[in-house]
Amino acid sequence: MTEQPASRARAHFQAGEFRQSRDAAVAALAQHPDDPALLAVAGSSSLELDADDAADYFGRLVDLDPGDAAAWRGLGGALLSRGLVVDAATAFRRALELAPDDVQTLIDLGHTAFARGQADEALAHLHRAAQQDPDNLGVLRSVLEMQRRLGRADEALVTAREMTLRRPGDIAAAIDAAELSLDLGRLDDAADGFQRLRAMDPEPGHELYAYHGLVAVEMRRGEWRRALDYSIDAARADRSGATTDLIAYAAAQLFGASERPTPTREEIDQIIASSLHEHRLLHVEPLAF
Amino acid sequence: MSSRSPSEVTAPARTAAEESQWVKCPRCEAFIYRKRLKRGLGVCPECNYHFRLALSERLAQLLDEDSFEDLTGDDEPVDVLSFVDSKPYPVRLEQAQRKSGSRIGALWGTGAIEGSPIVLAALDFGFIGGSLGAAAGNAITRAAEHALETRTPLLVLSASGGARMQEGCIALMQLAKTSQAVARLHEEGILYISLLLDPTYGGVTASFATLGDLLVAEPGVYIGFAGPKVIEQTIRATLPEGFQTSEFLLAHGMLDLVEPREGLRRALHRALEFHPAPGRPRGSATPAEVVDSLPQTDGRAPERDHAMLPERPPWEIVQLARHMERPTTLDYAGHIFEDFQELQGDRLYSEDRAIVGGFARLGGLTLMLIGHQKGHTTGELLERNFGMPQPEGYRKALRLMRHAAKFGMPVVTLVDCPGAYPGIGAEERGQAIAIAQSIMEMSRLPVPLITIVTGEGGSGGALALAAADRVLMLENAYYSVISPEGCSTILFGDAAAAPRAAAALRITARDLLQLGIVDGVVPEPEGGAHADPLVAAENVGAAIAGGLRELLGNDREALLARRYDRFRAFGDPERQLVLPPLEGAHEPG
Repeated sequence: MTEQPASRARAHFQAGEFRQSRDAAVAALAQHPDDPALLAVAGSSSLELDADDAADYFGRLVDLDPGDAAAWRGLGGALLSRGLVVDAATAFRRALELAPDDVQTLIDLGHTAFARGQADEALAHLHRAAQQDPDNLGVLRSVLEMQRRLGRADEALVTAREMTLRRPGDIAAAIDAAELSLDLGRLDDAADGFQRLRAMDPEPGHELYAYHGLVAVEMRRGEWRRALDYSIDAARADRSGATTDLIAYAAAQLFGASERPTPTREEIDQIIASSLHEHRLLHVEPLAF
Repeated sequence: MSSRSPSEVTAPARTAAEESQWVKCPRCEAFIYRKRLKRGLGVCPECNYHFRLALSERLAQLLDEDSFEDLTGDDEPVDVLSFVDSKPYPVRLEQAQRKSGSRIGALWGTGAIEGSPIVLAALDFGFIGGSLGAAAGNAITRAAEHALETRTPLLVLSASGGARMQEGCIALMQLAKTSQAVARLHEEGILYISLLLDPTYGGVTASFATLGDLLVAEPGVYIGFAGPKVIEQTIRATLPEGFQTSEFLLAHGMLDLVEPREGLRRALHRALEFHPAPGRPRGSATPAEVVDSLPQTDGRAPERDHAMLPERPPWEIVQLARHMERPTTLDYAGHIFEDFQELQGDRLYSEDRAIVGGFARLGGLTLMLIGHQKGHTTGELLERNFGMPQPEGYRKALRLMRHAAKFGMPVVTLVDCPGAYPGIGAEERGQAIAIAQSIMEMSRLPVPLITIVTGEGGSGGALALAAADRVLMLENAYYSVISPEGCSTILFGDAAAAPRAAAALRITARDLLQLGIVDGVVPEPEGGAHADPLVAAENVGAAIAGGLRELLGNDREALLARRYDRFRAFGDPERQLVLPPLEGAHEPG
């Protein structure tokens, strides 16, 4: 009779008490080595504890029941945590065959496919995951990052817009939407995007980045008066003085060259790109845990 | 009705940060499975980028499980200035509290690292960029005061953009408040380790974060006073690659150690072990017990009678002393001591690789080992500037000697230096002053000092590490006021007369033992130290242990008085031995 120890181990797991969960499951497995519920909790808690034997428990589980999708998914995760991407992908694929709509399996398989250079397969899996779980913005973020890396800016913009629709307060998504619009020359959208960012980003001093985006838009349009005005606005929020060059450049375009050496367009583009990159990092760079 | 299989285990509720099981590395852009990342302590397996960690995870990685007792108490940040920017400060605080789960953006308490107790304080970068306000300043200060009261080592983890603007000058005063608390620890000889995390800037680096006895950082951490953009715009120049990274700071002498995350806990534990706190076994050991703990080796004791030493042509000894395979300080460190932790930097300008130093363990004793460092290949020699230090090398040595004095560690120096580096930069940065200060401060250092000239003892560059209680020499080392070649050129008018100058200068261990410049001569294996480095190291180890046995029981005043007298005697007409002339020395040419 293993229901009681399995329940206890599960309860510890759900409470985040992984060590107790693992200890309870492993102790009970000594009496009932082939109990699927105990093997599953032992595997899951070992995985949370970064223990090497997680894959062993899930391996025993799939040996016992090769039709258990969750066990294959667990095995994939355990292998992945040890960096065994190809083996993990095989396990995830088996899990997906058994449970074709499982969101986590789609996500994991998508990322392993991308790691193996199979971009289209990766995106297909992740798009399906996003359809199954529309609230999971993490999936769309992965899609967007992959599209960016593949140079598919058009597709990335669609994804970014979808993210802003699903979660209007998501600043990282708003940055992506504005930046991608700028990259694609959709200047009205980009201007709207940066204006929206200026209003929604609550962090002190962050309006600087939105102004830099607006300066970039106006420079693209050749609207030097507005570029200068936004540069002056940006300078008010700029502790480092990086915007001074933007003012100098816009003023030179508007009024002609001055005695002060004027930065090149390349340098200006670099300043703006690094500013937008910094803004993105401030909102997107994750804490590992 | 449930369709779950028995192997379906419901996961615990995840935080928003854990929404995705996949994380993108900000540096190499690889997607990393979160559990793999966690298994690797938050270090990207593809490019080694060290992800920023939440404070709770950082504590979990560094401290013994369940050892942390949070003593932060009920402090709340106070809006002393009634500050408003686009929002009132209390609203910003509330947002930060919600976002970070921290009340004040800092914590302090007690814990242990591999069983060694510590007092710990930390800033939470997730709370308004880890900025230093009054409440965070209180946490740091209380931790330092508690460390002082309980005489427990203090570890502070810093990650901060600097002083918090919204608290105005009250925030600025936290620099003084925390610094003075740290100053008391220094006065009382309580170890303070500062771990600088990504990023640490402004008022935090300009106060407690850089005042540690040991400054440690992970790779790639950004540390500075002014931000890079501010500097770039002020000087109107592009900053060099890697500017303000921990590696940059290490190369510029500002950090002791850059340690990858996987070794950080071990490195901190080693640092604690090298500084046993009063009340702990090694810390409370009597000098006699410490002496008893020194290892008995098979090494031969130093020779005290010059007549027992073989006579060998001085020029031949010079060649042996300069032999490329002759053991270096780091070779001896590896062979003689049970553990050695190198420390770097002068905390002023640069890390000079021509001098190495750090904690070394011999039996139950921690000592500070400092020595000139050459190399066995051209590449190593170039890296170590052929063992010719710049002022920064001497200033590093002096910093380490002061550290040793503060914690009652004996100092052992190994000298192998053709001379202090003769260069423009060295002069600009005060080579002579650095040497002079080192000689002077050694003379008053209140701990036992042992020097062994292991190779070349080149003038002031050597003496800067040799004003010791016991000065010993290896059998085939030399010690001289000038190189034989230099003397030959100046006084004999011909560099080719270097062998003759070597003899005339009386630079051999045999002569210098007779003159009392050295107290003993460490025997070398047949053919020289390079012929059998292990035997050479055993003999050097025996000499160090023997010297320590003689010196450890002495009280401070007696030690300093004898050291003073030792150097006072040189050239004293009443006490200075005069050597008879060399055969044929008066013949011209």
